[in-house]
Amino acid sequence: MACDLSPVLLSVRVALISTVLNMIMGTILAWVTENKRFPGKNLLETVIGLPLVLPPTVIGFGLLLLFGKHGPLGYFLAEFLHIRVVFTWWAAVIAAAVVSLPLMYKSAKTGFASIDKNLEQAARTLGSSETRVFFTVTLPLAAPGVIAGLLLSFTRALGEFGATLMLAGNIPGQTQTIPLAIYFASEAGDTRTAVFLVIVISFISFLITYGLNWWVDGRSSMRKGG
Amino acid sequence: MLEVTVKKVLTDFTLEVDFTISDGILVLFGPSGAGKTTVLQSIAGLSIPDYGLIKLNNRIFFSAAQVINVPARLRRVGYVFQEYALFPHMTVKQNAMYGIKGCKDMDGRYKLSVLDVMEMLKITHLQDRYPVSLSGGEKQRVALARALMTEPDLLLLDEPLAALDDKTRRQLRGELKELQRRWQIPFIIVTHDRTELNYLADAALFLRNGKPYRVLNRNKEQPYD
Repeated sequence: MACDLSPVLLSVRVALISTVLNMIMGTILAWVTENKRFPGKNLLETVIGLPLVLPPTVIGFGLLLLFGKHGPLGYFLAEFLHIRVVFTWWAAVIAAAVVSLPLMYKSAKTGFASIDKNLEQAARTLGSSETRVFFTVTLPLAAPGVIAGLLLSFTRALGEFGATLMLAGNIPGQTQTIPLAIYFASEAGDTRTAVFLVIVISFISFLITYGLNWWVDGRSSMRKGG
Repeated sequence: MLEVTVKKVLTDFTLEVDFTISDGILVLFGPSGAGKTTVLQSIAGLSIPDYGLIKLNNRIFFSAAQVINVPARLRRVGYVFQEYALFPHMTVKQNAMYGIKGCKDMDGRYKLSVLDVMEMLKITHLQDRYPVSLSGGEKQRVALARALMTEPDLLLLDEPLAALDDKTRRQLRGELKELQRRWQIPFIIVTHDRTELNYLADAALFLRNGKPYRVLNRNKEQPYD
């Protein structure tokens, strides 16, 4: 069991899927709150940002109430779609996605906010539909924010512990991600496994963060040079 | 022929203008904050008036009475923005060609060649450069090329010369006038500069706090009522 790779593979899979979900949801939410006015917008933004300030166990507890047997979503999924979420690896995906959504959302929103609105207006006067404006002007210009959000959201998802433990449990081979495996290996005195996983997750997170810094630095020096 | 009647409540005053032009250059003259840009935006479809009628060659763009508001992309009105609004992630050529694909109205009309338009505006040698590396005058020429490539029926220019140095300004001023004569579509130019007004205007509308206080027509002044 010294080099069981299943937590690593599971963590990467969970982080990838939750990041893709966040890419779609976070980008749409960021665009909508940046460009539209509607009642309850403040409330929505606060709810999206809550996972940043609340302990992950609280988020996990809330998700458990929502997705549990008697929770509104859990009941609906079980009754009509015969899907059970709690204590499956999908629960790990949901926990990771909810906890890392604010990072994706805030980065993408900064990206959208930095765009000169006249550029979008110019595209409209040049005959562009709203969809074309979004894909040829808005999104390419917001790309730095969106990409930074993706990387932050991925590393946060990779490191998620509290909410995952509450919603997905600790089932080796099924819901045991790297952070959970480290905690339980360390508790059980299995230092070898713990150290191995600590090195793996530190290495991945270091690489991504280093890559992000390198990329941001390259972009800013390019702009000065140009 | 462009007919404009616009009323819109702004923060400090109510904008109320009413004018028609058929050809040539109309200058909207006035201090900053007089509502000049809002007039342009209303004609282009970037700002919705509270009340009024905007009509170009019998095509209704906006009518409060008939609840019509044609979206900007369908109006075929060229707009040159004050800071040019060039797409920073596209080359000069990509900028110039951006509007062509959006041009849905394909009634067999001769499509302009990008190379011809770039040649006319003397930006052919810049075609692979990005906007960040261009001078103010070059950016202005690219913005003009981009707007004209869509074959607009009307061209709106918001303070087109304000951000340029004196020498470039004099040069581009002449080119703008010549461009209008060649292109044969009405231009509406917003400015707060008297020299530009005198040089460019075939007609002018003087605005203050959202209201016209004087009109000028081919150097024949008449009071506005």
